[in-house]
Amino acid sequence: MTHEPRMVTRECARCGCCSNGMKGRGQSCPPSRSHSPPLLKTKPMGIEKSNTASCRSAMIRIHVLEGAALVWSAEDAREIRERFRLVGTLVGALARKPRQNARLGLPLQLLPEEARLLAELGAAVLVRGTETQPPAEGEEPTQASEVEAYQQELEESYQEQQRLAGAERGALLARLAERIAQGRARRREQRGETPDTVEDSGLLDSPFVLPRGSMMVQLPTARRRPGRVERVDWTSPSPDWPHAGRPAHEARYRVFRELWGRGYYLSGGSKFGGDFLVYPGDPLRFHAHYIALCCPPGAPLPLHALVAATRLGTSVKKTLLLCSPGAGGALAFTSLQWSGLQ
Amino acid sequence: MDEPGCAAPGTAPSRREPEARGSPCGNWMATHPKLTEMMSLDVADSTQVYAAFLVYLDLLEAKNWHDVTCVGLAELQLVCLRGREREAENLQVVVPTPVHMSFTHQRLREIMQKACIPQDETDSPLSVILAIVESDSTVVYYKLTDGFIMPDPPDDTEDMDNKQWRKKRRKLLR
Repeated sequence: MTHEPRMVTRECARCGCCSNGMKGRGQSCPPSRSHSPPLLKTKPMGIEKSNTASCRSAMIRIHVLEGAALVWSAEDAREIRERFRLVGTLVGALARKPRQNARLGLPLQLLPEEARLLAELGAAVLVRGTETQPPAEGEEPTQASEVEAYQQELEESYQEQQRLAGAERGALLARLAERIAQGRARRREQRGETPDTVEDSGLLDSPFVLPRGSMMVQLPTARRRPGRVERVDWTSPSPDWPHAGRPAHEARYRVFRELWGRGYYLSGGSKFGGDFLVYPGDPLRFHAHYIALCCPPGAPLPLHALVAATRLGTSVKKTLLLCSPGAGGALAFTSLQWSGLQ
Repeated sequence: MDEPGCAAPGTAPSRREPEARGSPCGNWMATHPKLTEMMSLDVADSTQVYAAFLVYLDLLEAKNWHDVTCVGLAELQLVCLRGREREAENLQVVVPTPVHMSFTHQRLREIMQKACIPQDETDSPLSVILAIVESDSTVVYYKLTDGFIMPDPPDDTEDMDNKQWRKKRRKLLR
């Protein structure tokens, strides 16, 4: 197992996919759905930047849990979509907007077929968390020292913030010094007092103290250190990856691979009663053209189910596509549409 | 067919009382020349033949198709119909089937390959119309085509009001 250096990624609370540290910089995410993921990432130490733009020294990690494939890294999620044309679904709650599901964040859940495709291409490795095992002697730092380190960081951050706030305040007062003096003089005239120049500069000399309650604190939404994981073999069934070898999964995967190979984008089709939705381009830009239904060879199709599926397809402006292995090993595709006879 | 209310083809009219059916001519279907022609092809069972007959009537009387003929496909055990939707158009194949019959995808493809008429333009894909007949004689028509057929694009919202424009657009894109 490769030892991965410390990687710190900060999640954007708004869309969950930026790793630019947004807190405290006065910026906000654009609200559009096509906001593109990670802008910045703190570079991990020890990984040299390769010359070829697309070469990554680390494989995509897909965490499997009881048959579900999850991707937790924002950069991996972006690469899966941009380089491999696989869409997946965001299923996580956003840290700052938890009680809604209009906008969801990481992790990205992949279809079993998508995860298998990435593993077959050699771009990803399936892993399983092993936190239940007790840590080996002397390997992990104890909790107490972690707490101490955290307190130390908080204190340093506070001092820095105090210094910056004090400097900013001083600059502001210096800029407005003349206006403040004028205002004070005018007020004294109104009250009928004699001008007293001793008090004028008093405000600038008092030491500035930043109240502890006004300090800004970073709440990390990602682990500071990757947890312990072990590889999962995707070719043999296991409790966390039961799909290997199942005939239904194999049939679906064949269809998925063929359609993906033809350049389509694919996503889950359960909302339309099918196996996959087939898009001519990125789902953010196009509606699906086909509802793909995988028919294992020899499986009977009741006509009423066929009528229901085709009628649904017609009313949502998609063609029903029956897919099954045909003669000679190739896949056969049949399109079903309403005939339009009035 | 044992369902009540359906005329069993081939039943002699004397078995049923004509008045019970409310029609003075009795069981006219059983003696219809087209039905007897389809039965005489002797390729399919009576339910499929009856379904084919209903579709034949529907195409001619309700949909106003032209030149509708019936064809027996022995290897598929089906009676198919061929006709033109409009005067000048190409022949299309209609495959009638009762709703309780179940197909596999393989059989559907077999039907497409064997029943389809090879068109003049060889690059047009194989296509048949599946006519599904319910027990109450409702017929629904669905088009099966080999390969990937893109769906109709969504209507422009301005055009939705104009029914004539929608009809024209549909014909144009067919």
